[in-house]
Order: sequence, then structure tokens, then C-alpha cells
Amino acid sequence: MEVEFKDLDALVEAMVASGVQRDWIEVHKEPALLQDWKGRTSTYRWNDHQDPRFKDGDKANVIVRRSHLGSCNNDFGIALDAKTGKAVVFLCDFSRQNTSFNDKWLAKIRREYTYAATKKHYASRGQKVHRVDEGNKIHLFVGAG
Amino acid sequence: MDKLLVIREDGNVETLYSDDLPQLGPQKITRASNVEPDPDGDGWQVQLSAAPQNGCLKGWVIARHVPTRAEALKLEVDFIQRHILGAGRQRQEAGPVHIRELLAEILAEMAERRVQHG
Repeated sequence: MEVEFKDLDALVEAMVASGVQRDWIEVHKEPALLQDWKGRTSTYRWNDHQDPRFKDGDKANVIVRRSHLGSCNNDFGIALDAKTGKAVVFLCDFSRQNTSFNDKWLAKIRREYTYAATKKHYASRGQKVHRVDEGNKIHLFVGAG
Repeated sequence: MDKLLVIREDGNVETLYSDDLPQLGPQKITRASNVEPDPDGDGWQVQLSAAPQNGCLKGWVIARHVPTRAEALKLEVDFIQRHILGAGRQRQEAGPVHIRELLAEILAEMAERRVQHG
């Protein structure tokens, strides 16, 4: 099953589980604009991909501002698309190459998101989930309620 | 054994299909195994399919002469969760040592079942 970011609450929980302080995380029902490392409106998605959704600038539903990531970083953001289910992740090359907020961290967020969303699904059915971490994989055992 | 979902390194999920799975994204469903009447006419047989996720165990008959279909279905699920999805221990890439260990474990299980069912 290819997991897509759809659930804002699960995404925030995943980011906290991946080491982001909760009070660093901005949540916007309507996506908010991102800024680059110089404080200008970030426009990478339009410039690089001509994605019409981001013609007015990069924007995201979940944001960690560059002030928390360290100087020379752009804002980090994840934009959810309710129609397609595909998320757009804004993580600048400087972060990827020079900080711990990199692709490994992003992969951890994905895994923690899947865990949070799965746990929520089974909890709504009255079932408990037991987690066992196996290296970079997570085994979830779903039991009766 | 409880139902197992494996969250892979990339955040995607591998599991045995059931109707109550969370709808987290598009699903790709492939047949992992078959439970059919044993060719000898005595009980039921469980055989892994040729699907890629079965790795070096593709096509293996993992149980024969199982007295009831219900028991065969249970064996099927248990085997796939333990040896294909890798519950309970870290999965390793197939290599000579791993295959020897796995074969020894499977043969021991089959011998135990033969003893139980006469």
C-alpha cells in the first residue's frame, strides 16, 4: 500500500515523533506561504515545475519555519492535496545536505505518519495496535479491542 | 498470531489483504498463496505463489495433508506473516546462511505437524 499524506493530525504527530518540537509546527487548514533563507516568498515549485497550484508562491499546510531549522535553511513545509491525495514536500537542498532535517528525517516522518494513521484507524474500530521497531521498519500487530 | 502490518523504510505498508485495512493510499494486491485440496485427496495443501514478494520461497508447498481447510488457512496466514513479512525477527536479504536457517525452521515445523496429525 502506497501511503499518502491525507491526515493533518497524523502528520503533526509524525513530525513530533521524528524529533520536531510541537510548538515549532504551524498547521494551516488553508496553506500558508513559505519563505526562503533570505526571507523572500519561496517560489521553487512554480519555477522548477510550473505547478499552477503554486503560482503565487510555495505554500503548505504544515510548516516549520526556518528560524527553527537554522540559518541558511528555507522554511520546511508539506502541502496536502485533498483531490489527488499526493503531498508536496518543501525541503531545500541546503537542509538535505547540511542538517539533520534531511531525506532520512523525511523517511522517518513517513513511517511515523503511517503508524499514526494506522493506529487511529484501528482505534476507531476498537482495536489496539502493538508496535515493534525492527531496524528502519515498524511491525504493527493488530489485536482485538 | 495477531494481524501484522509492516511499515517499510519508505513509509509504505506490506500486509495480508483484508477488507478492514486502513485506506492510506493506493493498494497493489497480488496473490501470495493458495489453499487447495491436496493432490492425494487427503486433506488440504498450502502453496506459495510465484509472486516476487515470496522471494526464494516462490512456489513452495509449505503444508500438505492438513485435515481441515480452516486449519490450512490459519497455517497459510501464520507462515506468510512469520516468514514472508518477517514478524518476530529482523528480515535479512536471502543469502546462504539465512536460507539454511529458514529451511531448518520450516522442516522442523513440517515435522511437528506430521507428528501432530499422525
